[in-house]
Amino acid sequence: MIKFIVVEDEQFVQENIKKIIRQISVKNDQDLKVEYYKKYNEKLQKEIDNDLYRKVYIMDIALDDSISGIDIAEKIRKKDWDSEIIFVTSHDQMFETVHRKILEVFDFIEKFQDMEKRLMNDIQKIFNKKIDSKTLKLSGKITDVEIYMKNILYITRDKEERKAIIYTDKDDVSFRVGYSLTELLELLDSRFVQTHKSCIANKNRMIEKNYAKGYFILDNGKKVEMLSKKYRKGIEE
Amino acid sequence: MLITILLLQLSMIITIGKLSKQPIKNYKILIICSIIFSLIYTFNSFHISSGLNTLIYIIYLIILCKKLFQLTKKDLMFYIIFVYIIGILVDIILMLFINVTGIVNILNAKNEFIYRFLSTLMMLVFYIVICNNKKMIKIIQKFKNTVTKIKISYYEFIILMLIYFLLGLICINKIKETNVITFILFLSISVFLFSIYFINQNFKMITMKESMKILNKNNEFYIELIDQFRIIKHNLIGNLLSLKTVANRKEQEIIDDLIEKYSSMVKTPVEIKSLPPGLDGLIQAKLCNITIQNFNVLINNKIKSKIMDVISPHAYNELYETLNVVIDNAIEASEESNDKILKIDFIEKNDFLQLTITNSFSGMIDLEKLGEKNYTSKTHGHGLGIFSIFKKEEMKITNHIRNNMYQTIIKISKKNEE
Repeated sequence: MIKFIVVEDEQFVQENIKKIIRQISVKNDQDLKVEYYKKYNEKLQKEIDNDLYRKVYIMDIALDDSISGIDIAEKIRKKDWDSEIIFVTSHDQMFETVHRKILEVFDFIEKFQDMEKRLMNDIQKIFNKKIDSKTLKLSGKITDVEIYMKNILYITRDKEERKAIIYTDKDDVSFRVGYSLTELLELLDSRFVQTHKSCIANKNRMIEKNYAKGYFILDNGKKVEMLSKKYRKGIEE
Repeated sequence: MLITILLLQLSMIITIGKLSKQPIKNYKILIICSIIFSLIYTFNSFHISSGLNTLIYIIYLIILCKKLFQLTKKDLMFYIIFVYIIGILVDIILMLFINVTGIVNILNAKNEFIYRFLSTLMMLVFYIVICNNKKMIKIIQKFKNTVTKIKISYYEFIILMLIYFLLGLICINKIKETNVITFILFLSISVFLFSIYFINQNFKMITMKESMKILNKNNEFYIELIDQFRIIKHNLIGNLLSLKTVANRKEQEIIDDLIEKYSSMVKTPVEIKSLPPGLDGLIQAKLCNITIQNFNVLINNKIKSKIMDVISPHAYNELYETLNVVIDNAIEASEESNDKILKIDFIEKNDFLQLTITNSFSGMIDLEKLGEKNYTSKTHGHGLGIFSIFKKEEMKITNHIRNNMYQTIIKISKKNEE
């Protein structure tokens, strides 16, 4: 069940968004719940705290208040990384790039440029989107890290030190952590399987497996030579 | 003895509660503990020295007050010592009065019971007067605010307490011999020693303030320098354009190349007005070092006050040093990443400031080694920056990584308003 929460102080924009959501409701034959706000208030905060529904927030950035759409997005992200956020606004490219990444904003839509079409497309994508927001949370000496499981490619054991190295698909980012493979397997979900005594891999990201030659290839093209026949059964299940 | 010590305990704790403006959490615990301890104290007084008994009493007071009140360690120690010193002073005044006036002969005051009773009564009166005088409470609060600002290590504190306790013991012995002059001498020496200590602490505070002034001047210097730099570059581009009009084709290409180079460096990523005063020069200077294209930097400043007006000099100095390291690290890390994102948020709340620096990064991070001396995740790092900032006393620094964004959150308490 998806709930739409619209935070927009301009009446005509709010009416436009209302119209779009009504059209989507008819198209998908779903009765969609929608709430409208002109600014941040206690009722909106209660809505943010409520985790009964998956939510889609459609917000303006510049609200007629001291609390902007970005501030509201930050409050949302303090508790909830599963809901989608769409900003309907007019800000520059740099602003969009930074917040898209930091607050995981689904989209920024310009108010006066094909707003209806883009908003409809975005909402349809959200409907079709498979929610996979499971994260792996680990603690280091001074830093905590939270990694989306879908972004983890594979994990190997560090040969020199008793640590594991987690390889992700983002920007060659990897983490060396003070956990064993066994400990990590317990924290991860069933998509992660042991492929070798020194390797755990995300089987959803594997596109090719060669047990004879002992390697698997990931969807980013990387070849990992850590595949053992001993673990075949677990991988293929 | 039992009744006097019971009354004394209760009055001291109630006084601490009134001075700290804290209600007593649990009266049942207070009464039960007071009765039990009074019995123990009375029993001990026949078997162990008064000095040791007093020490036990102080430790008991600390533990009980910790249970009854919600006070910081410094505030708790201040109130206990203050109330205890008041008690000792009253005791001394009474002793002097009795001896000087000759009442000692009339009242048979050498009898310990009568003396203790009188002493406890006087202390009770004194405590009642303090508790019911709002002006006095305000003065004591102000004094507490000043004293608790003094930085003191645990070792220094223990030594001070031992000296104070030793002098107290000496005073008690000297009172019994009624040797007033020797006693006053000892009091004077202890006051002298404490004064030297407080002067030393104040000197450190002055040095800190001077250091803060220098940092502030540096900050203003950065701002001036950046402005001058921008003017010079602007004029240089103007001069190059005028040269272009008299140059041949090949020379024009060379000049165009120079103009392009300097044009991209004239723009600063953020306007200085959007930065919090007191840190604006430093941050602007750091951001001006960003030389690569397509760097996404965003500053979100909600601090309205001037930074050095709302935090202590020591905190300002530490914040300056910390930001120097953190922003450099953030810029270097994000420059090496694909996203090249840097965001700095400044938030001001009622009693603290919060700075959040978020940057993209790439490469490997060792979660166990991050923060250790000589470890660096960057190509051109030394591994000393993060190591040094975690030794800061005035701020709380936490780090998080999420969605391949590194976030450093710095929280600093505002100074108490005087």
